[in-house]
Amino acid sequence: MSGKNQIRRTKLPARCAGLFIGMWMTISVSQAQVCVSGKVTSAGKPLGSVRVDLCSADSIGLVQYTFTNQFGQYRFDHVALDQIVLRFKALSYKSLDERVSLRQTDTLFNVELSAGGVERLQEVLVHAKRPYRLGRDTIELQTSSFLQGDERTIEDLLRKIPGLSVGNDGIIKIGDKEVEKVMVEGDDLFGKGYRLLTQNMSVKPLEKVQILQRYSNNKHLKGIEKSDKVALNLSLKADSKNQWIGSVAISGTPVGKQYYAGSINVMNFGKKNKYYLLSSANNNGVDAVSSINHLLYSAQTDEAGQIGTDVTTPTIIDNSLELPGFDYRRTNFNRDMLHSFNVILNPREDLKVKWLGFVNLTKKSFYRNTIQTYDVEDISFTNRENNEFSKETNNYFSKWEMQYDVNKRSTLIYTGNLGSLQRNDNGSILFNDVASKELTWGRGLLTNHNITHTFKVSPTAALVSSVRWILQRSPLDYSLDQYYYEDLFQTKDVANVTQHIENNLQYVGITSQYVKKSSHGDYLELAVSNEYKDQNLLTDLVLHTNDGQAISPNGFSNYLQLRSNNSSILAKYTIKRNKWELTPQLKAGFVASRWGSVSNENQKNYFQFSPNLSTKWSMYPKGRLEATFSLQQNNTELTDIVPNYYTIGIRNFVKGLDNITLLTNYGGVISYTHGNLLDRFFGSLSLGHHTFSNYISTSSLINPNFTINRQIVLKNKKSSFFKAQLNYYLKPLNGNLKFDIEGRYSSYETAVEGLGFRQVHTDSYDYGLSFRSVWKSRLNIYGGYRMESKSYQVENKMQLNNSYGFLQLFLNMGTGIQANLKNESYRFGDFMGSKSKAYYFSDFSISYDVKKIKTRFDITAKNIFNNRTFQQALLTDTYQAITSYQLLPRYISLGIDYSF
Amino acid sequence: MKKQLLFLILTGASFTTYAQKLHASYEYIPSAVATFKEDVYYENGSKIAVRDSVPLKTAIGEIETPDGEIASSFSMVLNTGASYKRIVMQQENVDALQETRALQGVNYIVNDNFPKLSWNTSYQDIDTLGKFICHKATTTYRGTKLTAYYTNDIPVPVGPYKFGGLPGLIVMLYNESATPNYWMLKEVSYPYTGDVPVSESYINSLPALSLQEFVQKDEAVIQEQMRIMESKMPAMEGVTVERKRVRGTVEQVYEWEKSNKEN
Repeated sequence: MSGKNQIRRTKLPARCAGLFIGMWMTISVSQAQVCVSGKVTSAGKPLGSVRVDLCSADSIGLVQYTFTNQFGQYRFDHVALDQIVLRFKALSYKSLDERVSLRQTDTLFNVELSAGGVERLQEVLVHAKRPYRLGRDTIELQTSSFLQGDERTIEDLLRKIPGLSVGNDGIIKIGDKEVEKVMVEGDDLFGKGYRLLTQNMSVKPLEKVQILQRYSNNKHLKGIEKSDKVALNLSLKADSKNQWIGSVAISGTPVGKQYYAGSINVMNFGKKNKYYLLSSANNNGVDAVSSINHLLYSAQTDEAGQIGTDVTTPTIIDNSLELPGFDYRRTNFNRDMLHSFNVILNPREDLKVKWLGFVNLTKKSFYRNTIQTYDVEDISFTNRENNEFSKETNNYFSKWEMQYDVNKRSTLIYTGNLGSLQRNDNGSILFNDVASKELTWGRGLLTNHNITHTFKVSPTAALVSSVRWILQRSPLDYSLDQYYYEDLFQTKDVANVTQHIENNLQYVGITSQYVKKSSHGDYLELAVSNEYKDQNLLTDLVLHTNDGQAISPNGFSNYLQLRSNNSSILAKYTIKRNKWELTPQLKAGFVASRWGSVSNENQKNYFQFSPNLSTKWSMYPKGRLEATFSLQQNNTELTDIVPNYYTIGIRNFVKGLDNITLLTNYGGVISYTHGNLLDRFFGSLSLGHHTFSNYISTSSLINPNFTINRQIVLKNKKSSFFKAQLNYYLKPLNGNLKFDIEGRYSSYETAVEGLGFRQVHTDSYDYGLSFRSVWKSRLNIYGGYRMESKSYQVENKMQLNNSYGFLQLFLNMGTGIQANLKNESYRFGDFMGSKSKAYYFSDFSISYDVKKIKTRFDITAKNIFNNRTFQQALLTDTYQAITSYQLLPRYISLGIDYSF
Repeated sequence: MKKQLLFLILTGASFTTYAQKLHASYEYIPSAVATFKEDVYYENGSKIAVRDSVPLKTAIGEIETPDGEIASSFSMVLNTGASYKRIVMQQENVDALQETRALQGVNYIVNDNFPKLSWNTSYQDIDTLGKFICHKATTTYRGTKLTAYYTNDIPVPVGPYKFGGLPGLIVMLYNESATPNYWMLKEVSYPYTGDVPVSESYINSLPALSLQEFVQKDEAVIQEQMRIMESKMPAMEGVTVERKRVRGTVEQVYEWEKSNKEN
């Protein structure tokens, strides 16, 4: 050690001497703190960037550190030790430790370092780990880092995490992406309805928040399947005590006819067990089950290795009301009640058990009056019909799931359900001034069991296999207390007509799918499947005469059994390069079917091919082109092969082909997009055409009292469409102007008994213009106008012109007060001799959220103009119809929503 | 001031005895799909950090391909115009620093009155990263909490981007956030004999802005793009969009914003 050290009382530079002497003397005397400074040199020249550590002489613990400045000087203030060790470290110099006694208020300690130490560094670091990130796509945040003390709910905490944003409506986004779900200890109860959890659950039991990027529902497919989903997982403290939390919401009309809605949510999440209870009831038109749809239908059909997800018995008599483009709540006179109880248990680390039970008791009613005009060559008549339907549904349903991790690379999941589905439809019909009652009732049974096994072959490949068994019975009884069918059956004195239906299904499906992702992003999918379906359809139409006789007319009863076995393979490969992507796909199968009655069984075997080619091309930074070309071969379903007629309600009879046919279609869709949502101009154009080599059409027998439709197979149906959407952000108006145009064309044949085949051409056009503001003010608007034109050309051309206008006003007062006014107008052009007519609707709501008392107040006014009816026109190739629907009247309701 | 600092750094002007250059190469990982190379040069208390404008290519075997659909109309990138190298120039014991920032294709030299970092080094946590035994330190920085791991083996107060001032070279640094930014040391060499790839005349030719001016200008552009997007999204009944500013960087809250809040 050649360092030359010296300790001496020093004279501070003149310019700061006054300040330091006055100040430091006072401090050092009163607190026994001194200042240590000095200069580091080497060969007489000052040394900059030398690290100087001040350590306690009693232990080696570092007390303070500093670096010398460009003049080689260092300084430590407020040193409260008597004995210190000063350690000097710098690259290219030998380290130096010096023990110093501090007896003066200002101690100067200069050192000289000699060359040596670390003189050369050439390090390459590999496999540096990231303790903060658990794997590439999981970010783990300690709750304690973000808590500031004023947080009550999970949402309050999430608002404080940089990078996460929570909207006023509770929607959680990371960047611009909304999270898929918020799980608790890896368990998901609410799916996209996570607000129920984040706005109610206390932040207290929370330990960590995990952000799962590129999330996959099947954990073994993580990193293999394409995913841009984001999910959150909340991890609880080990000692967190189970807490009951929840919310109550009640709203009702203070005067006039009573409309109400009420719900209570109660939940308890512990580290191991989780419970969630929900009860709701309303008569304001809202479908209560829609709030728990995500609990019931969690099966993801777009996931690998799934089978039989859409297998169910066909609906034979459907009395539900569908009004596309119109708010269903306006026509839904209902009384809904829903109770649901859900529990998740984690008895062991590798085992998870979920159970869900629900009871749904509803009554939905609708009222409609229809004028139907047939004018087909020499067939010309008008029917008037008033319907009042009330549909009662009593569903009891239970679902369970068990998830067992066999080992780190494989998981077994069993899901099962059992449901009793009861319906009771009661229709009062006034048909051409003749009254009748139509009843449909039945109690169905459904049980569905699935086992899925996932095996992660490698980090980039997995094998997912599933087996599913379904048993479903959907019996129905139908009765009509009027007899309209004298022309059809040539039988008189019939008092009523009944039809008994047995509709059973048994299904076993097994599949195994291999998925592999290569380093370039290429993606391979290979699947082998076998599905066996055994379906029975028994329909028995009986005419009950006044004298008690029961007559089964010929050709109006069915006993059909369809057993089919479908073995298929799927091969799909996505080639992904920098600017383009190409996905060839082939689905091929062999179907063996047997169908018929007990005495007469038919058999047909055939091969099925469905190749598909899709491509994506990034032509230039803002331009993208996508195209899909496909050939599809589909099987005829059970209802397509029914040999004899059966009634589907309201004087309609149908029958199938009495044969099995393979239906083939081919075509392509091309779409071009310029720009994206962030650009001032964003436009897209799509074109598509499909040719159906053979297709199912109908041959109708038209009678004023009934309609009989027989399915027939015809050849060469064509359909095409175009769709364009242009968006432009108008800077002076601070809003987006959108223009939409869409056209659809089709050409096919139908038949009418006695008239033969008829060529039908349909055209429909939609034009729309809308504007949405993004003003910085409290007020924003969204308004637009759309025109629609439909035409059918058979013998003559029939046309229908409608238009729809809307204006929505959003007001955000910023202090928890939000208001929303929605105005709509529907206008129908001249149709069936009636003049054009317009309907105006206006709904208003205002809410006030008082966070301090965890309560939200709201006032809702529905149907302010008190429209009691709404009319819609319908055009088909054989008739035109105008239907008017009864609407829920104007009401104003007051609501309160309290969280506890 | 800017010119003086630049001169000091680029010429390696020395008041001290044989100063030698240290070169540390970091990987900067702002998101799961992008990694940038950031080179840090240090000599005589002067630091220059140069971050590449284009992301590194993915190593084969490491699955890091962006899963963003190449043709999805919902995958989008904010249009920031041409991209430039990001250069940060910093002098020890001087509060102000300079950095280059690009906005709509124009590169600026931005003066940042950088707040002094007050590191908490009292952690007992020790981790071995690469060959180095590293110690944990934390600090708060512009609305985020930074965690750094530094090594005593290389006693220089140097780190990536604007960060440093720890007893040793920073080996890893990240901010606690839903969208954390990572810096990981990949390579270190000393003495470094290569040149610092920064041209003095180029830096001097850039228009100058204060950080506050730049951030306000930059965010006005981004906000307009976000509003354009919002105007094209479907409107939902009873839902109002909260236009909350989300900064995807380590810098979330600036000093002038704090004082505005307090006022």
